[in-house]
This record gives sequence, structure tokens and C-alpha cells, in this order.
Amino acid sequence: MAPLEPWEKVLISDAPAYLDSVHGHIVCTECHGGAQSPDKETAHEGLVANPSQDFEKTCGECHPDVVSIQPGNLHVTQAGYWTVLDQRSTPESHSALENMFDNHCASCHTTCGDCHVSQPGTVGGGFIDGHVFQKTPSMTRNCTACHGSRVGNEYLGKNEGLRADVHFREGRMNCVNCHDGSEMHGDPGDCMTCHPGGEEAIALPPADHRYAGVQSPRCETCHASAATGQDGTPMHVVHGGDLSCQVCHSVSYSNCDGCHVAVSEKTGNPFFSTDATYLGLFIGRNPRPSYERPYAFVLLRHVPIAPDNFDYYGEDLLANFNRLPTWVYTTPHNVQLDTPQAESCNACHGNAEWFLTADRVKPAELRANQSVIVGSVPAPVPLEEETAP
Amino acid sequence: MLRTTAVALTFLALALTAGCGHASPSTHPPDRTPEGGASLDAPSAAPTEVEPAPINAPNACLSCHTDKQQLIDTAAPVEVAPSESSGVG
Repeated sequence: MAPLEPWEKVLISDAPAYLDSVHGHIVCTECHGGAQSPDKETAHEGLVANPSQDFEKTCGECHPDVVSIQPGNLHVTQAGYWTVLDQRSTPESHSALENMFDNHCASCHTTCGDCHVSQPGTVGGGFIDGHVFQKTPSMTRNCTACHGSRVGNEYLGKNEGLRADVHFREGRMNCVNCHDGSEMHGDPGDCMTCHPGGEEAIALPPADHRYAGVQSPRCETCHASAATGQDGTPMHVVHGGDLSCQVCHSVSYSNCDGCHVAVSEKTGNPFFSTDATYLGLFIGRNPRPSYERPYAFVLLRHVPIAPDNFDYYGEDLLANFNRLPTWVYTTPHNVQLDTPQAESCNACHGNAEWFLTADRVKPAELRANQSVIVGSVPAPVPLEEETAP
Repeated sequence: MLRTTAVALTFLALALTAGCGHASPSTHPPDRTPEGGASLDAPSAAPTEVEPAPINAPNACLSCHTDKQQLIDTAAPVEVAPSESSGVG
């Protein structure tokens, strides 16, 4: 996505449209500070370019329902980073890791305006549509502006030789067709907010991982007959409970090795360097089996982590590196009806090409991945069984 | 008789046009539906009144930010330091 020109980022291109909207009835300085003056310097004194950084003060006045659940919003809290950093490190390293996080990771923090008014700051910012607030964010200028290198490229078919996700290619579905506002804005603190009336709802602990708790979205919501094996597909009857849908219906996706970070001596700017990026599909053991995700096998993606990623900030900051796999549960956004591994039973059974076996894991990472490595590839299916109707 | 008729007609005209003033700015309550999705029960926090923009009042912010040429003329030069990052982010 080409960055916008400086003037283009702040041009209210259709003033009547903006002034007719609800937000157009609010005086500019109410949210942005500054002063009413024809002189730019005077007008911009005390200017707040992104008012929704302080979302409780600005957005919260009229949207308390959304703002009140922000403590559970990963777009705001970026808690996912600390879910893994805490587990891979010791408390003594946290100060150095917080410094690293502020320099390299915190820029992905998202405000209300980054989705509903402008492109996110990480891609240079700029109005989506002349300051008119967008109830539904733009898929390409908001969602995949941040979630581009993996989700965006997979979903839109930008990985060479691989087709776009069938939901986009055939259905023209965009992100919010599956990921609705309640998911984007964070879950309420407890289930009772939406489902009052049952003690069981209160007893459920909040999810501590994005692949914990209720599956949302879930394929079965639309494909109920496939989930119950009533769509005439034998593989759904045989494998419906032990394989995640993506095992058969995804194709190759991006995997990244270590992401090393440092601060430039020349410019003082933070920078990163990833070791390798490669496409591949890896079936492994489910690292998080649960009532909601009972599968024995799921797809695994290598995340950009290595023991020495943060050495610039201190020695051995990831002292507990092996506590988590480097190959993690993934749900690639490149779903297809027909895939090479699901062509027939023996396209997968007996075919080591698809499985994360020990020989495909770096020796230094074998210990971390013991829980997900497939010990032996499932044996081939006898021919008569494969050809049976 | 003519004077009486004229006075009566004047009062009638005033009565008929009494409701034809300028409409005040909309005071519809803001939409409480969360952006982009399902509605949730609103907590009890009461919204604070925001100052409505006076219609037709001079607005220096809008005057500038709707003027493409003025924005081009007054834009601060952008200095982009070359990124030292490498690989997929």
C-alpha cells in the first residue's frame, strides 16, 4: 500500500458529508485541542493528532459500551506479546524486555481512530475517507495494513502460486464477515455481561490465550453439515473430531524464523532483522487440546522467535525459552475446498511431506517443541479402504 | 372597514408563518451500537454532553483542512530515514 502524501492524510475531501455525520457536529477542538486560528502554528499549539489515544475521554463519552471492554481488547493491550514473553523469561529480565517492547512492539498498539477514521500509524496514517468515521473498517487499509504479511497475503492470494482464500475468491467476504465488532473490541470481563442468568457462565475463567475459550469465529457456524458428517464427505465422518478444519482445507502459509531487534547507532531508530521466511504446511500435535479444540492434529506455524532475539538488550533474556514451542497452533487464512494433502487418504497418510517430524525441527529447538512434534507419520491406508465409497 | 380587514389579515399571516424559523442543529442521541458489530448492553455510565458545532460559524480548522492547495503549501517537509530493517515484518 503506497503511503499517502502529507496533505492527503489530513484533507477533509468532502466537507458536507463530514458535517452531516454525527461526529461532524462536534467542534474540532473538542477532540483535537489546539485553537481556532488561521495561523497554522497557533492552531496546532497543543494539538492532539490522535484523540482516541485517550479513548476514555474522547470516544468513551458517547460509546461507553465499547470503551468499557477495552481492558480485554488485544488491539489495545497487546497482551499476547506478554503472554509469551513472560513465559519464556524470568522476572529479572522484565525491565529489559519492557524496554525492548516499547522500542519494537508497542507501535502495533491500535486506537479507535486507527480502525474507524484513519489508516494505522504503522503504515503512515491518513484519513480513510476525509475524516468521515467508518463504522466498518476497510479490509485493506485497516485490517491487512497491520495483519498483512501473513493473514493479508494468504487471504488475498498474494503468496506466489497460491490462490486466495475461497471465502474471498468466491464469496467476496471481508474480515468483519467472520470477526465481528465484539471480537475486535475485546470480550467483556465476564460471560454474564452478554449471557445473564446462569451460574455456570460466571464460573468460566476468562480465556488466557487466543486459542483458549470459545472458538470464535468457528467454521461450523456456517458449515454445520460438514461438522456433523452429514454432507456426504466420508473424511468428515472419519476425521471430524481429530483434525482441525485447516489441516485438510488450508494450503502453504508463511513461517518466519528469529526476529532480531536492535537500535541503530547511526539513526537511533529501532530496527529488526528476520532470519528466514518460507512457505510450507506443517501438521503437528495440538499444543492446546481443550473441550472447544479437541483435535489431535492441527496446523503449526513457526513464529519469529529465537533464544538470542533480544540479546541487544541483555544476555539470556529468554532464559525459559523452551517453556513454549516455536511451532504454534495456527489457523491460516487461505482455506480451499480442494487441497493437495486431502486429495485422497494416502495423499496424507504415509506422506512425511506434511508432518512436523523431529528431523524438520532445528536441533536447538527440539526441546521446546516436544509437545507438538509428530513421532511417526500415520501409516498408509490399505488401497481397498481408500477406494471404498 | 379596510383598516380592520388589513389588521386581521396581518395577524392571520403571522399565525400561519409562526413555525417557519431555521431548524436548530440535530439533537439526536449518538448511536450506541458498537462499531462494526453486535450490540451489547450499555453500562450505566451516562454520556456527557458535547458541544455542538454552531452551523455557519467560522471554523479555521475546516477552512484549512478542506483546502487542498493550502494543505500542500503549508505541509511540513517529511524526512524519512532509510529503514535498516530486513526481512518480513
